Amino acid sequence: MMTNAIIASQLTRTHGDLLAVDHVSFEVAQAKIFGYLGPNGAGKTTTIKMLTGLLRPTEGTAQVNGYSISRDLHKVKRSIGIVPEVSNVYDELTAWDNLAFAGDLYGVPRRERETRAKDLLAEFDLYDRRQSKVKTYSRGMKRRLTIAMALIHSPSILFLDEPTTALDARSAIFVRDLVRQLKEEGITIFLTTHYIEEADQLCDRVAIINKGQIVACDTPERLKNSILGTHTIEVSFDSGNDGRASDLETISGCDSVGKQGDKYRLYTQNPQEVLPNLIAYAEGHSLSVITLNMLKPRLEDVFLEMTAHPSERNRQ
Amino acid sequence: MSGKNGILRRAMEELAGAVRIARKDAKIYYLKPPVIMFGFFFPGFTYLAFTVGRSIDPTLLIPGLVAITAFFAGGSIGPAVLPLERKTSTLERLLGAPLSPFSIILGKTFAGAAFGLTMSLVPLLIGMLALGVRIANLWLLIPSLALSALVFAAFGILFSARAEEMPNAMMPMNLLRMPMLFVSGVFVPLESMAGFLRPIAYLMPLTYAVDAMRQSVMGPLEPPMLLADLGVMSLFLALFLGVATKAVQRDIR
Repeated sequence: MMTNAIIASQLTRTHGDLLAVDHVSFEVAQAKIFGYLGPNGAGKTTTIKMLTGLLRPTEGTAQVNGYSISRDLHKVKRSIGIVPEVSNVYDELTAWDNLAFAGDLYGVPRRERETRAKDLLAEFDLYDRRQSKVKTYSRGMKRRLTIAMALIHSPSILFLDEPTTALDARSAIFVRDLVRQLKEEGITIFLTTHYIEEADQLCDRVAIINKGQIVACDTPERLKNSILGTHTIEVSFDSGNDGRASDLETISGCDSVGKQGDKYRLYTQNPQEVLPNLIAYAEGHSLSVITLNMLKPRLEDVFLEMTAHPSERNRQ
Repeated sequence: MSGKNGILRRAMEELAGAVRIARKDAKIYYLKPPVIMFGFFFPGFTYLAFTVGRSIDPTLLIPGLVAITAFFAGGSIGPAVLPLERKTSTLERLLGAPLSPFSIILGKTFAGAAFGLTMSLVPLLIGMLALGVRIANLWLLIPSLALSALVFAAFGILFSARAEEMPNAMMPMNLLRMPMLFVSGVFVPLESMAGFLRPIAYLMPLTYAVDAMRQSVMGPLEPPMLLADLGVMSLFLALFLGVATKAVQRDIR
């Protein structure tokens, strides 16, 4: 039977008058990757902080690894690893000393700590630089060390807050592969990310949070299917950006239009009606169609649909 | 695990955590320039400024110098550590660990106290080895010095507990530390002090540290006064630790 590693129930947090997280409830199954997506300021980090004991909920509660965050916080903390948005390593210490201190904080016995530190440094490709002060590390190396420090006490849940933000492509791929591998090892991953494609590739389930409220929570494929009613037609013309295609939204059957580079995206419930009208529009405006594609809904479309301000929906 | 054993084990874990934090702080921050300046040079120069050219018996000099070295050195760790840890989010790492905020504050206080204690041994050893000062009650000096260093370290932590930049901690602390020097019996004995200053002197932790130091170094012992000194310093320590813990807890409220 699948059990839940995290159960959040009506979690709420206010900062003064601001309702940062508004009665959110969700469950995260053991050994799965749960993505928590939302625009900046949506309440992602606040939720992680409440689940990890770094902020007290104003209302609601949560169980993490079967322990209540309000009554058994000490046990919660022992069983989780936290990778915050900022790589909070000690620059003046070596990687080895950082790991040793992190293990120390969680009471990992010395011999076990040293074995684990060696393994993690090797696995994270930092072993050769283990005696260098961390201030000489690149951003990607610091990120890897932060994750290694969060794993030194072998937690069963890992909270990752924007783990690949500002990393170069190679480091980001390393972190993504690592997340998959940790899942294979049975670790539950709670992941927030700005990169929707990343969530789509990695996550078993995704919750989309906007203005403190969860607006959708399901598997990425089901979320995409939920907006299947909306079709996207991508078109580009030879005119580039000369403005001749500025009133595409007037095409009959077209709900809204978005522009991406030199391409336009037409959103519609009725592609059969829009396609011939689009061709007629191009002819009427002396435009040659260079590309014309019907796009499958992407998680990004779901995200935009769920998080857009009503006034922005027509511009997407 | 029975209730009592569980509580004891938890208390030992918390204490061990505090010691680990202190060890880490010692490794990272003891050699930082502000710590060296405020912990080593500042008390030395301050003392010299008030004593050079005056004929004072070294036995009278040393207790005050030892006390103010512990006072400045112990208090210098908090402002160098806590604002930086808050800025680099490493404080969040500590708060996310299975340790109480009190243990985190205690660990930082231990780091400050160990530095204050070590630094104050410098004038003490100079006095003993170079100036021939004899310690009347060595058995009492060490605990008095250790308690003083803890109080002064906690004093520094208290001023740093909410600060996000070092000057925000250091400036208000020095605003209080400098006048404290002149009304705590370091340079002017309490008996010779103007009457209206004496009640203020008794509100200052440094007063009790200087008195305990004098009794330890010069004697004679006055047990009721000594007990009062140690008792009041313990109360100050509890107060500073408690308020600093509350202040850091605000990070997670």
